[in-house]
Amino acid sequence: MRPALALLLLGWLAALVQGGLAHVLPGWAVPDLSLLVTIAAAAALEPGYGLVVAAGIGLGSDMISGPLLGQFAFLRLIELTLARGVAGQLDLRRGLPLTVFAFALVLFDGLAQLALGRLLLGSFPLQPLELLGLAGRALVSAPLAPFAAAFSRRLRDRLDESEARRDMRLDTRRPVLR
Amino acid sequence: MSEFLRRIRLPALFVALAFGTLALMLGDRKPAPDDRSWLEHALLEVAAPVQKAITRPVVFVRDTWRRYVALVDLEEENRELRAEVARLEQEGLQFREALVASGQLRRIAQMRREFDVPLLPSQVVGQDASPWSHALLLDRGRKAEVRSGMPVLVDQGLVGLVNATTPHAARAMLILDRRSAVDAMIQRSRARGLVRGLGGDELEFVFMVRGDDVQVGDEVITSGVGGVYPKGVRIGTISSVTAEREQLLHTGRLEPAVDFGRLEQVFVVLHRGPTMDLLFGGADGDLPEPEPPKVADGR
Repeated sequence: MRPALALLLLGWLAALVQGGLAHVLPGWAVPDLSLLVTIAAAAALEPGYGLVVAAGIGLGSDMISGPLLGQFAFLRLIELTLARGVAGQLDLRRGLPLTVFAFALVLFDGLAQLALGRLLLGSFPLQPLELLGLAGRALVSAPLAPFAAAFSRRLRDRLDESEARRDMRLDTRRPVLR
Repeated sequence: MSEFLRRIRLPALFVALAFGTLALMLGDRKPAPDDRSWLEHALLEVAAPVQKAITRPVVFVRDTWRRYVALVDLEEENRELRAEVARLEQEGLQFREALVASGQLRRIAQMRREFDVPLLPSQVVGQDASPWSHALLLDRGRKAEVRSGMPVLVDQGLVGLVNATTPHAARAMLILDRRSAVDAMIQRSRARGLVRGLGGDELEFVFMVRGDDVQVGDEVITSGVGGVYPKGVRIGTISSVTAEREQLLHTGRLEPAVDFGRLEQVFVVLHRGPTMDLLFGGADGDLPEPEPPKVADGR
């Protein structure tokens, strides 16, 4: 439970940092940090908690972002499910496969946002330069995926450990011998 | 039975969450009043100071480099001159606008109230993190009388429209956003059309063919029709026109008057048009004030 809460907060913080960076950096140079945390959550959490955390992270991004409310939440759910599915085929604990997968997922995220916009808001023209920007964003984000995953794993292990230690303390109390 | 429930637990959770988020999306297609959920309020409230804290050191380093290391005083002087040019251009546009109005609409001009509303300066503390949408996070909210549906300007021209507020922050959708549409006209020929966001750095001007005169280099200003934006605010300059004879609607590309990449301070027009009042619920959009505690008077 605690690792899930921690990753949810981390995802929200990532969305805030992303918004702050977008103000000072060009759009293509801003890494999709909340997506990286979602990928990390897929590996670090149990499936049920992972789904709830992914939807929560997406909802947080929706609230501080412009698109339709629920759009990021929906996409994060899909992306978490994709990450879990791909993890069954590829070893996403290793750096290179994770980087390649993160690159593809950032591209997928951008195109899926576009498709949802087209579907729900009607006309949604796309400029070729924007696709290049999306590719740049994927290039900037992907190399950060292994770091995000390692950080999330370490966070989970630490919180799990402290929970286990607390349980152990409770379990190993010796009965008082009289 | 319990084995079956355990097996469908995850797919059921996924389906429930997916349907929930889809329902949110469908519900959010209409403009919502300002009294959004407490969670959205909380996140927007937290977002403004956090993003300010994140951007402040970066902006400080960038500004220091620009002002004192890279160009010493030249940058400052250049900025002042640019601001002066923009101000004079805006003033010139207003004079030309007044001339046209006095010539064509003399009688109506007598009846027209003077457009005089307060402008609230606000710092830009964050931008939208999504690659396809364009929005700004502002550090002023309902405590400063900012409401959804209020236009946002700078001295160069039109920036966008406030579309979400909390007591201390607001989110403004830029005119570059694909969802944005502004009723506009060519200042020289008075040809009316619609300025739409394309999602990139350019805008699109859609206009009717019937004798409408639109040329490259024409200034496009808000028409004031629709009661959303005040009349006569500069939007941009026509950079190209696509005219195909068989089509009723022609389009032109528009270079925005505002440099959206360098927005640091904007002005919120503290007046909401009647259309926005209708869209955002008629009232001023405030969250209901907590009722004062009832004191028993002993009777």
